[in-house]
Amino acid sequence: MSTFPRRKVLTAAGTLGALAVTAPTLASCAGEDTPPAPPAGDTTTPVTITFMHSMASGALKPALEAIVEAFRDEQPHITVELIEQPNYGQLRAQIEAQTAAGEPPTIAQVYGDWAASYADAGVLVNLDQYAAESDQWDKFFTGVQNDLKLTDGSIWMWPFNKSVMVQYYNTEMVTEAPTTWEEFATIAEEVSDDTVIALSIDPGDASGPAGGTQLFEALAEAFGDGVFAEDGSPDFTGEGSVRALEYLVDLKNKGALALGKDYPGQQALGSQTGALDVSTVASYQYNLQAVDGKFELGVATMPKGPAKVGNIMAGTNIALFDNDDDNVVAAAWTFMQFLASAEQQAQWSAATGYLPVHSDALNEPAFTDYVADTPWVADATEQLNESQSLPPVAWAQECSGKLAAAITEAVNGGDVMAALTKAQEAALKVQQESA
Amino acid sequence: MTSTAASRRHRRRPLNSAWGYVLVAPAMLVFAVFSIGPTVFAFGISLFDWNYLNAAKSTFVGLENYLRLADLDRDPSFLQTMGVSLYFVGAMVIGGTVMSLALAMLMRRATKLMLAARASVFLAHVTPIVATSLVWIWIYNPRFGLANGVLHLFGMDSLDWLGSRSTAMISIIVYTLWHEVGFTMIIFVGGLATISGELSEAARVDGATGLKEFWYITLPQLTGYVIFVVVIGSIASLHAFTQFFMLTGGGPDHATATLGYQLYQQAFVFRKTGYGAALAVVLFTICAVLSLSQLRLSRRLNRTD
Repeated sequence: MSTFPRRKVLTAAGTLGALAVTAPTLASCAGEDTPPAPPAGDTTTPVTITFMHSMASGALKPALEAIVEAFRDEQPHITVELIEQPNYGQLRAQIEAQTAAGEPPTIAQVYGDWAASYADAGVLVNLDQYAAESDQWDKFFTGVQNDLKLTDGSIWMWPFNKSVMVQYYNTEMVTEAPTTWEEFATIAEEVSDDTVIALSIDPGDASGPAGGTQLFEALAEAFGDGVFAEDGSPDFTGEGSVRALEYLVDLKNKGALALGKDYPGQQALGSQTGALDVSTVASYQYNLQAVDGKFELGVATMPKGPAKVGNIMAGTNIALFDNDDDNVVAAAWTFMQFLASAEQQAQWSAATGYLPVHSDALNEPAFTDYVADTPWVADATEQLNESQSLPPVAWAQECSGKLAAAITEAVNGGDVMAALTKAQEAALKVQQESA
Repeated sequence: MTSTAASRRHRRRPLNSAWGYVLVAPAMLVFAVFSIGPTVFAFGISLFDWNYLNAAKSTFVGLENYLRLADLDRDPSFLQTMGVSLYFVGAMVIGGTVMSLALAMLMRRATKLMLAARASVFLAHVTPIVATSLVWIWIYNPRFGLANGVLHLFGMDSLDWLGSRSTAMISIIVYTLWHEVGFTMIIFVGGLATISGELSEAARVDGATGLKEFWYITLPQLTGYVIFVVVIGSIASLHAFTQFFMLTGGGPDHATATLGYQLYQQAFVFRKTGYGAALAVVLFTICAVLSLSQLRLSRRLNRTD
């Protein structure tokens, strides 16, 4: 009798264990070989779609709500339910929790590497046919088009909030923005002294890259080649990467670069202990807040390197999750196209600082008025054509984390080549395991 | 009736009543759903290359995830992660126990000043780790931080406290000691209140110095408390996560990537759910062994008493 409860517990544990082990084999498996065409949908039946996003702070939230309001006026039978998440990390966790539970949102903001995992798990709708039937595709900037595809060459996402990197500077310390990275280094050294360190960056760490690693990736493009090959394989020991890291180490040795955490460039710019910050256009409003009128904030496009202007595209796209209801899918597709339309992109850009993904948006009154006040935005938008983004592969973020660790190590006095070689080996291991 | 038989009967007694089961059933159900079930499920997942989005696409890999633990080429390897964990656990257990015992000895008297001092030390423990970590990030800021301000007072150069391999873990240990030592200090203060004053008095009459009195009289009477503090300190340190997440994110170069932090990284950031589950099973096993050791030690000490 004394063994009764233990036996019960063991039996229960065994049952649960067996369930855990057999669950995957019991579940059904479905797959589609040919990309689906967009369903027509019934425009008379009321339908509700959910949009999970993290446009929750500052001007982003009211701007997105305004788009939804405008969409409701145009498509009264479709209700868009916004599901807000406080940041991208939380957004991803929430998307995946709901998807694993079999109830994904209708559409959601996603990065390319997330989309790669979702497509691999068979929970996304392939948009090849959707794009073929849409009149928007040809109007997207080239870099934006590339950003919507995964490594299989198929289109799995539709654009929404895109940005590129620019340089912010204190106009009292830097009278004219540098146009080349060589000039940048000269100016950075000149303005640095006991109280001012020209540039502060946060590379992030092995758990994930931050803005400093993004800057490094742009530098690597500018100095030669990118940090990832076209198929997403890490290439951290190429000429571009080596020269980019040597450049940062040189800046540090001249007292013109500091490492920090949590947007250190913005903090230093605001406290006037930094002269320059390299970040995305989406930081514009936050940098203005940090500066708080203490001086005039200058903004310019990225400097040119010996090879080209290297720039990294940031921001997310929209993914459409599998759904059995054609009306829901049709409504979601209508909304996705509305989000990416010239008029909405122009207004979204003017309100938030993100760049329009639709080339016709450049002629919209909302955007031309915005550019009249902030002329650098036009040049930044042009860079959407050439900018690169992290490869849409599941291992990209983890590999970039290895790069972040290498940047920190080298800038803190380690050997450049040794740090990059170590990061490359670790990244290849990650790629092998993920693939 | 022998004491062994009485003990057996005592242990059996609740099982003889069906009502006993009925009454504990709600608690057991909650425990089963939220603790036992997920634990067993984690054991199951550790045998799969688990697709967290679509379980149907998961593949059974047997012990492959456990074999990966032995792969020294991984970055970080399991061995490296264990080394980091043991470093942290060792520093916390030794440093935390010594500091809290020392503080308890200093504040054992219940005067108003001592009570205020105890409260101020304990206050750190009841503050949220996330909030205080954010404050300590500023203290450790390499450019504007208080820690470097103190170094400058002594003519020393600035340190990148959280960004350098040599100082990152020490910085986290200092923060964690600041946060945790109040709790263990209170345990020792409670222990000191229960020990006999007569033995100490007799030792002093016999000419024992303060140090000898502490070593030969006070400390032996606190053995049970020390063991308790060591065991809960070990388990809490093995589980420590928030300060690593907030202060360093496991960096630089995995210098602060503990077992608990890597578990989170692998399972929830890099989505290697099967491997993460294998790490969880290892962590579970270590904690189970520590807990059982504590139970056995406590029983042995109780019998000795």
